[in-house]
Amino acid sequence: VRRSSTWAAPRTRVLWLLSAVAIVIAIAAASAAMAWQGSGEAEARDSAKIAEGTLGELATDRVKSIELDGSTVTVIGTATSPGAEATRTLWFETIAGAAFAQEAGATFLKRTVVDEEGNVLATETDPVDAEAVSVFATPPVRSAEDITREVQSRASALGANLTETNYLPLLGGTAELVVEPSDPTAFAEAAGSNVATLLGDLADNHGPYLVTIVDSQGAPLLVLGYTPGVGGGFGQGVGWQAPGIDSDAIFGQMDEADLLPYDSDR
Amino acid sequence: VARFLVLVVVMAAVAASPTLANQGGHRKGAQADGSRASIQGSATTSINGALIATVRVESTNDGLIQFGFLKVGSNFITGCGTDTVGYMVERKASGGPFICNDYFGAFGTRAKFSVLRAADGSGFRAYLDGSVFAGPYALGFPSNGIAIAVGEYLGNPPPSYNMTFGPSGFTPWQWTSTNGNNWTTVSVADSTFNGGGWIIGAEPSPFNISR
Repeated sequence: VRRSSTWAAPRTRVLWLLSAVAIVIAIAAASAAMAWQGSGEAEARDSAKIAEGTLGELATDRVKSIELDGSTVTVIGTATSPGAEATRTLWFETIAGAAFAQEAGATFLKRTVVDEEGNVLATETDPVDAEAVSVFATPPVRSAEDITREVQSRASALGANLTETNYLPLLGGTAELVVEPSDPTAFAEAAGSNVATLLGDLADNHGPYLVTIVDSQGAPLLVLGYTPGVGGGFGQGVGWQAPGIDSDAIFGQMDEADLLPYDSDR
Repeated sequence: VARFLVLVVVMAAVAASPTLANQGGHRKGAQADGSRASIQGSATTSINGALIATVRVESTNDGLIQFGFLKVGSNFITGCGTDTVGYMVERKASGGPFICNDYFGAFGTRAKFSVLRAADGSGFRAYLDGSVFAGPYALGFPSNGIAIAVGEYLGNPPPSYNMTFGPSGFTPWQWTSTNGNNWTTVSVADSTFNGGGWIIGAEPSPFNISR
C-alpha cells in the first residue's frame, strides 16, 4: 500500500498541474477571443462612425454608402444617367472614399456608380495614399461663401454664371462648381485656360475640384475634376465631354478617322 | 491687295489659335494588347499648355490606356490635373470618362513605358521599366486595340518638344497581340498621324517626335 501510495502521489500532482495548466490556457484563450471580438466590434463601430461622418460632410445625395472591407474602401453612389452624371457621382465617391480611407487607414478605394435600377454605370479601383493624412485632415480654410464669392467673380470676368455650388468641408474646403457660360461650346473647347482662371488658387498644390460646364438648358458639356492622394501618385483627374465637344483639356482624344485605316493583317 | 493681306493675317491668327488637342505619332495593329518603348528627351510647356509623350493602346471604337511623360502648365487645367511634371497613366473604359493619374517622375529621363493587357482577363496594366506601375484596369475592349507611340499637347503649343522613342541600345517601340508573349518591333507602322506642326521620324526606333 505504501508503495502504491508513493506512486500515486506524484501522479496526482501531475494531474493537478496539468489541470491547472489547461484551465489557465482556457482562460487565456477565452480572454483573447473576447478581446479580438471586442476589437473587431470596436473597429466596425469606428468605421461606421467615420463613414457616417464622411457622408454627413457631403452636400449631395449622390453617395449612398461607404464601407471598409479589410484594406479596401467600397463606395456606392447613384446617378440618373451615364456620361456626365455618372462622372460627377464618381468624383463625389472618390473624394468621400479617399477621405474615409485615410481616416480608416485603408489603401485601396473601389467606387461603383449605379443607376436607379441598380445597373452599374461605372466602377473604378485605385490605390489611395494612406500617408497623405495631413492633406485630408486639414480643417476647412474656405467656406462655401468664400468659394461662391471668389468663383462668381472670376466667372463673371469670363462671361459665365456660377449656377450651382455644392460645397464639401473636406480637404481644406472645396466644391463642385456648375457654370453656365454665355458661349458654352467655346468655353468648353478652351476649358484648359478657362477652368484654370475660374478655379484660381482652388486647384493649387494638387487641390481637389470638380467643374461642370452646362449649356443654357442645363445640359452638361464638360466635366473636369481632380482628387489628391488617389491613384498612387499626386492624385487623379477625371474628364468627360459631351458628344460634339472637343475640349482642349483632355489628353488622348482621337477621331475615329485618325485610327483608320489599319493593317487588318497586322 | 489690302483685303488679301487682311485675310492672310486673319487666317494666320486663326491657325495660331491655341485650341484643341494636337497629336503626332505612329500607330500599328488592329488587335493590339500592348505597346511599349523606352522614351527620353526634353520638352517645355507654357503656363497655358500641357504635353505628353506616351505609348498607348486605343480601341477603334472607344477606350484607351496610355503611359508616359507629362507636363502641365501652372495656369492650365487638364484631365490629369494642373501644374505637374512627371508621369501619367490615363485610361478610359468604353463609355466611361477619361481617368488620369499623375505621378512624380523625372521628365525626359529615359524610362521604359509599357501598357499591356493581361491574358488572365484582369485588364490592362502600366509597367515602368518592367515592373507593374498601375492597374489592372478593365477597359472593355477585348480585341480591337491599336498600338500607338505619340506626342501630344493641349492649349498653347510647347515652345520646345523633342522626344526619342526607342533610343539606341534600349527598348524600341514595340507592340504585341499575344498579351506580351511576343513583342514585335514596329519596323513599318500602319500609318502616321499629324495634327499639325509635328516632325515625326520614320520607324523603326530610334525615331524622334518633335516640333
